[in-house]
Amino acid sequence: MRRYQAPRNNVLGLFCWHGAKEAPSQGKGEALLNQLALVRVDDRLIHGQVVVKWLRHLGCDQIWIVDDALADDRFMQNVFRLAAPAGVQVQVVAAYEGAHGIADALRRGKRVMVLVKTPQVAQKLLEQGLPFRELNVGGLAAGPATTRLYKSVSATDEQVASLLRIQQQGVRVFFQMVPEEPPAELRAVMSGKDTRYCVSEEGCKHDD
Amino acid sequence: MTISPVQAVLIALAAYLGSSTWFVGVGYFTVYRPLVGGTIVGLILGDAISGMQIGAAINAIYLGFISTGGSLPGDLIFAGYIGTALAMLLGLDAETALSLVVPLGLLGSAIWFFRLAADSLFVHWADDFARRGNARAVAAINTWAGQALLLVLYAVPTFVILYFGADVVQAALEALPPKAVEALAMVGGMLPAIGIGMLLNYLAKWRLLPFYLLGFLLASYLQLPALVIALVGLIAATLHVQYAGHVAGEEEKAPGTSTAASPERAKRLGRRDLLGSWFRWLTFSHSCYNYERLQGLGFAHGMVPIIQRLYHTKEDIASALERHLVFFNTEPNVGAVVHGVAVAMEEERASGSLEITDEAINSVKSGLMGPLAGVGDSITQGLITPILLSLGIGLAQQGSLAGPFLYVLLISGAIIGTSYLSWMQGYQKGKMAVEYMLREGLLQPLVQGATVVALTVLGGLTATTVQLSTKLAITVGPQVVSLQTDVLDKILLGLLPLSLTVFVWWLLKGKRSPLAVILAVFVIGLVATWLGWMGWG
Repeated sequence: MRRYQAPRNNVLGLFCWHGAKEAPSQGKGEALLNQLALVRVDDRLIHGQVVVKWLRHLGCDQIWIVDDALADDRFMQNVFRLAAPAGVQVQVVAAYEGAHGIADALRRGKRVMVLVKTPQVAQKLLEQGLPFRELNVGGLAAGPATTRLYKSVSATDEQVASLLRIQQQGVRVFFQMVPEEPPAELRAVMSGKDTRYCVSEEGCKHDD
Repeated sequence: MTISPVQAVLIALAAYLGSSTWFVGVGYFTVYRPLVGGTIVGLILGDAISGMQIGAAINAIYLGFISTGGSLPGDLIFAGYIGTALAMLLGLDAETALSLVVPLGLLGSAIWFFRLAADSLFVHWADDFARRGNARAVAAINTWAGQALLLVLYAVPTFVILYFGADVVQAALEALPPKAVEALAMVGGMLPAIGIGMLLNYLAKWRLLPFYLLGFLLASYLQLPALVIALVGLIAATLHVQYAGHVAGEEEKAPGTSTAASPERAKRLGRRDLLGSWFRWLTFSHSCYNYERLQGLGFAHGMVPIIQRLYHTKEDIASALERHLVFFNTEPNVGAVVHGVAVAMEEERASGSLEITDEAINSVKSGLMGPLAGVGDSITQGLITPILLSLGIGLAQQGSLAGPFLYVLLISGAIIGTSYLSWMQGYQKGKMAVEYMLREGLLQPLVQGATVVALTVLGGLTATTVQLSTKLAITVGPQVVSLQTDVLDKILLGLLPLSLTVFVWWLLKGKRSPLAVILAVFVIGLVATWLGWMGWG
C-alpha cells in the first residue's frame, strides 16, 4: 500500500510530506480536506441513494456537480436545485473551474459533497489539485462497450484506466452504493479481472 | 400447530406474490410489507388476527426500510411471511419471534442480490427481439421472464423452510435453557426501537423532538388509539406549517425557465394509448429489475403501446425499442413524470419534429431520472409509507383488521394517484412539468407537515411497541423497592423504552451502522437478562 500523498500543486495549499523528514503544520489544509465529505462517481448524480442515504449520513451543506455539459444547462441546474433537500445548496460547474470552486467553498467552511459523472472528471479534479484522499464509485450505467465491475457499476476501458490512475496517486478508490452496505475496494475488485486494463506495473500486480 | 402441505404451498405462493409485479405498482407498498404479509399468512393458517399482530410487530422493526437503486436492507418477504409463519407454527409470542426475524431478513437479501444479477440475462434476450422490431416479445420478456425466476427464488425456499424447517427450529428452541428463551423475548421487545430509531434518524432534526414526545405521552398516559394520535399529529402539522412557516432559502432565485409554455404539438396519441402506457409503467416498472439497466426493460415495456401507435415500419419500431431499452432508474411514482415526458417527445418526434433526436430523448430521460428519484424516494418511501404503516401497525395492535385494510387502501390511493398525476403532467407539459412539480412553496411545506405527523405517530408507536423493563430492586430495611414500579414508573411511564429508542437514534446519528446497532441490542438484551437485570416485573 502506498501512503497517501497530497499532490504537490494542490489548491488547498496542503503541504506534501513526500520525502520530508517531519511534517510541519498540516493543520489548516487537513482541516479543510476533512470538510470534503465525499467525492463520488455516479452518472445519475443526485438521486435516491444520494438524497435519502448519503446526504443524511454525511450531513453536507453543499453539493458540487462537476460536469461540462450541465454547466451550460439552466433547466437541469434548476431541477437539481429544486430536487435537493431543504438546506442543501447545489452548485454546477464545468470541469476547468471545479477544483478552485470547491476549494473556495471548503475555505468558507462548507461541508461539501462532490458528484461527477465519470472517473475522468474525478481525475481532472485531482490533476487540478483538489487533493481528495478517497473516491467513491457509486453507479455507472452499462452501455455497449462496458464491463460490469461491481453491482450497478459498469465501465469502459478508459474509465477503468482512469480509476487505476487515480488509485496510483495514492487515492483510495472504493465501490459503495449506500453507506449501510460494506465498501468494496477497487484493488480487490480488479484482482479478479482481465489484465488488459493494466496501465502500469503497479496496477497489474496480482497475488497469484 | 402443524402445517399441512396445502398450507405450506399456499404460503409459498403468497410469498412469491408478495414480491411480484401483479399488484399494479402498489405490491411493494402493500403485500410486500410484513403488516399485510403477516395477515395473509395468518389467514392461510386459520388465524388472521394473530398473523396480523405478529406481522405488525415484525413490521415495526422495518419501519425505517427504504430501498434505493437496487440496494436493500434485509428482505421483508423472508422476515414477514416466513417469520410470521414460523412464529405461528411454533406458538411463539411476538417478542421471541422478532429475534428470529432479523437473521431471516438478512438471509433473504441474498435472494434479492441474486435476482438483480440474474435478471440482467433476460435484458439481452429482450435486446435481440428489439433489434428485430418485435415489441410484443419485449413486453412479454419483461412480464414473464423475471417473474418466473422470482417464483422459483421465493416459493421454493419458503416451502422448504416451513415444511421441513419448522421442526428443526422447534428442536433448537427446546434445547435452549429457559433463561435464553426469556432473553430472546427481551431482545424481541427491544428490536422495534431500531426501526423507529432509524426512521427518526432519517426524518428528524432535534428541534422537532417535542412532536415525538407529544405522541409518546398521548399513547402512554391517555392510551389514545393510533388513529386519534395521527389526527392530533395532523393538527399539530397544520399549525406548525402555518405559524412556523418554512425558512426561506437565502440563495437568490434562479431565473425560472418555466415561463416558456410547451410548444403545441399534433396529437397523435389517443386516451387509450396514454392510459395503456401509464398502466404498464405503473405495473411492470420493476418486473425484471436488474443490475445492468435497473428499470430499463420496464421503461421500454411501458413505451410499447406508444411505439405501436406511432411507428409502423419494422426499422422505426426497432430503433424506438432500442432507444428505450437503455439504463433507466428512478422512483417510479413521482418519477412517472419522466415516462410522460418521454411519451410526449416520442409523439413530437413521430410528427416529424427535427429537434427531437435520439440524444435529446436520452438526455432528458437520464438527466431527470436522478433528481426525481431523490425527491420521490424521500416522499413515497421516506414519509408516506412510514406514516401510514405506523397508523396500520397501531390499529393492528389493538386487534383490529382495519389496520392492514386501511393501510392498503390509503397507500394504494396515494401511490396510484401520485403516479397518474405526475405521468399526465409530464405528458401535457413536457419537461417543464418537472419544474412545476418541484416548485418552491409546494413541496417544502408538504414535507415539513408530513414530518411532524410522522414524528407524532412514531412517538405513539414507541409507547405501544417498544418493550423494556428492569427487575432490579433495592432493599431498604424491611421494604423492597422495585426500581421499575416504584421509581421509574413514577417518573415517566415508559421511560426505559423511550430512552432506548432515543439512544438508538443517537447511535445512528453518530454514524453507527444499523447492523452494528442491532448487534449491540442483541448483546445488551441477552447479557442483561442473563444477569437478571432485565425482565418482566
